[in-house]
Amino acid sequence: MLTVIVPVLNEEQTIENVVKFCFKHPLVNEVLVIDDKSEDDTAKIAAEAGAKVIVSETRGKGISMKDGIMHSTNELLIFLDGDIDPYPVDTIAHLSEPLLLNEADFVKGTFSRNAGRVTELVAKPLLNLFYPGLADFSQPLSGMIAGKKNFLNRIKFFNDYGVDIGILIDMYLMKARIKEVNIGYIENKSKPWEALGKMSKEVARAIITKAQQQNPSEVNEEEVKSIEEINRQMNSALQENLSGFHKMAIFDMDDTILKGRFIDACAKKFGFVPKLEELREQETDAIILSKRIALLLKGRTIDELLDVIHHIEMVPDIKDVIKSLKEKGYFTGIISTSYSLISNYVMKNIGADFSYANQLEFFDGKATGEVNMPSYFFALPESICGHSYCKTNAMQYACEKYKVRIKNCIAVGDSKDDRCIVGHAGKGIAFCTKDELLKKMADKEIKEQRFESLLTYA
Amino acid sequence: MPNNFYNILVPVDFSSRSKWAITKAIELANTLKCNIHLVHVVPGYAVPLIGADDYTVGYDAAGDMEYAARKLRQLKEDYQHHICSGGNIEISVLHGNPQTELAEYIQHYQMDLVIKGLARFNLLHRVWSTVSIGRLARKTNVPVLAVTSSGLVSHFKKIVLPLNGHIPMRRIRLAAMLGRHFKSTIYVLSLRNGNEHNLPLVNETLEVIQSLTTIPVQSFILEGKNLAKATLDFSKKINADLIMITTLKDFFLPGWWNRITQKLLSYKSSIPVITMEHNGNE
Repeated sequence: MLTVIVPVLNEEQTIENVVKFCFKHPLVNEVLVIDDKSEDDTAKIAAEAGAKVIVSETRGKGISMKDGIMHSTNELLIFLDGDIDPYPVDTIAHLSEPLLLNEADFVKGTFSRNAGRVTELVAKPLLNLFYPGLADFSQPLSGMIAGKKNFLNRIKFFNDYGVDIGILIDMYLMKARIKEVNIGYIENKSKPWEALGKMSKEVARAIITKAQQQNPSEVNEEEVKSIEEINRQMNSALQENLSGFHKMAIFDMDDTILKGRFIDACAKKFGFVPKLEELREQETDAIILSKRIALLLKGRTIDELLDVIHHIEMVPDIKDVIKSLKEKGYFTGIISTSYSLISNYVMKNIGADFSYANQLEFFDGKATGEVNMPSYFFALPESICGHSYCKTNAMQYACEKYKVRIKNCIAVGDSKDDRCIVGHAGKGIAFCTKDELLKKMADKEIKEQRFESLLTYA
Repeated sequence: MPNNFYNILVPVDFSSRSKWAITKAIELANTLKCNIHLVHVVPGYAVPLIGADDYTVGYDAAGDMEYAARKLRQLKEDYQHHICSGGNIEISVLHGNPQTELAEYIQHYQMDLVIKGLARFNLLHRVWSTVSIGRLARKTNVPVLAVTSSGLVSHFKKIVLPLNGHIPMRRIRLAAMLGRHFKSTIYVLSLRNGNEHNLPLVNETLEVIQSLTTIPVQSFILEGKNLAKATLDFSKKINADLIMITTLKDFFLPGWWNRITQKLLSYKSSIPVITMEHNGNE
């Protein structure tokens, strides 16, 4: 007789049909549903359908499989996934036949589908290197398996995506007779890319760990180095080529995202308008001007400054435009010579990815009057403009960080300070500017206080 | 230094012009750290062919394409070791209308610059080349650098930028980028129009350049009626290394015949000339 073990987590939609499907096979007299503490009605539905439900103490597929083996009463075990419905009619027959005929000790089910990316790019190359005998398996990561209990009992299960490949390697090392059978077509849900990264890592770790445990001396140093080199080169080629597809939109903050300038609002509120105007008239050096303006904020608390920004209106459609740009695949950010306390507040409000600005120093919650200028504003030898202190240097930094080519950047600005960044960006946008030269330098000009038209250039 | 140049295309017809264009491309690729694409177009029935070994065409041009692919592979072998900046040489044989095929290749593979060799003595070829340079620049919106065997491109110390009534933003950006690499000086030129000075335009252009870069810039008001001729004379005088123009008629050589044949100043220049398409913001 056969036991079918089904590890599950939140699969109330499919579990009833899976259990009923198992019992349709005449030799199945036991269906064990190993529940990883589902938050829905999976356990209840499975029990009602006739399965024996065992609640797993620890989450993870490997532990659930182990629990299933422990609780099973038959010698021949079949493992199925709880989220597949329908299974091809003869799935259990195909998986169990080689065991029943004593032609195999372990059966790996394959199904018709496109080649999995992790299988082809991670599992197969590593198997080829460390376990050439397993390299011919078409779907070594398939989770539909059947085996004899005395073999399965001796396996040390991984408790992550490495579990299936781990079982296959252990069976191979135990010299079990392994057979791969095709069970037909299954609708397989594609995993999101974040899950693929995790899966790649865990599968690779499982294969390499098993190889190291088996015989550390046999893991050829040259082969490991060749994998590292191939990986490095592939990664560099990918970065180089994918940078062509990455895009970025950079916004100035004062008088662009904000309907007004933060420091002007502070001057009004804290009463240093004349002093600010005098400084702007006297001081031509941007760095010294920033430092002297910061002194005017000495003694102001974080709350007072946040209260100022809270009362400055933003261009009404900025949030929607940021959202739309992100949907189009753009990284979005703020580059401002104002203060990071404020630009971070705006960034979070509008949902942008980053903000680069000067850092106002605080002690005991009060501004000291000092301002730190982050290194990304300063020119490096490879600076495209060469200006010692410039937003373009920050754009270049952002482009390197996010792997975006400058020609794929949109820069939006309004003032003379933005000429360089607008001029160097792939698409420079002058936004409600009074600076005539900026208008001429920009690829496009937006005259109304809305960013919507930006989307037509993106 | 990061830049906006990743790929340089050299259209190859296996003549000596192609060879010096490749040599110039390598000089530039080594400085700008980019890839070179050697592309030959077999005229006629249009079939793109990349990796000629694997491609079969039931057409008598197949032989030409095989031959071209073989020669390109040989060129790649000969020149690959001259690349010392980490870039690559890619080769492709295309089939069809040369202008159309090149334009498609340029768009598809995102070329940033095209380098064409100009015949020194074959005047007919020179006329045709200058016309095709203008067309290619217009069609693809990618700068086309025309070089003769004598023009050096290993350094662009003196970049000449003639003005024709607009602030040439695209040319300024490119000049600023090249200028940072080669530590160049930009020479902004303008013609004196009768008694009128183009001073406001010159001043604005200088301000734009200074807004975008720290490289030195000088301006000159030239006497004369034809901007192309005045630019050529000035460039020779200062021993310039690069002239940057657009496809507009301001850069046609003087004379009705030159206007009809759209002879750009690159026709007469022994100095490398970059031709760019003029658009709204140039």
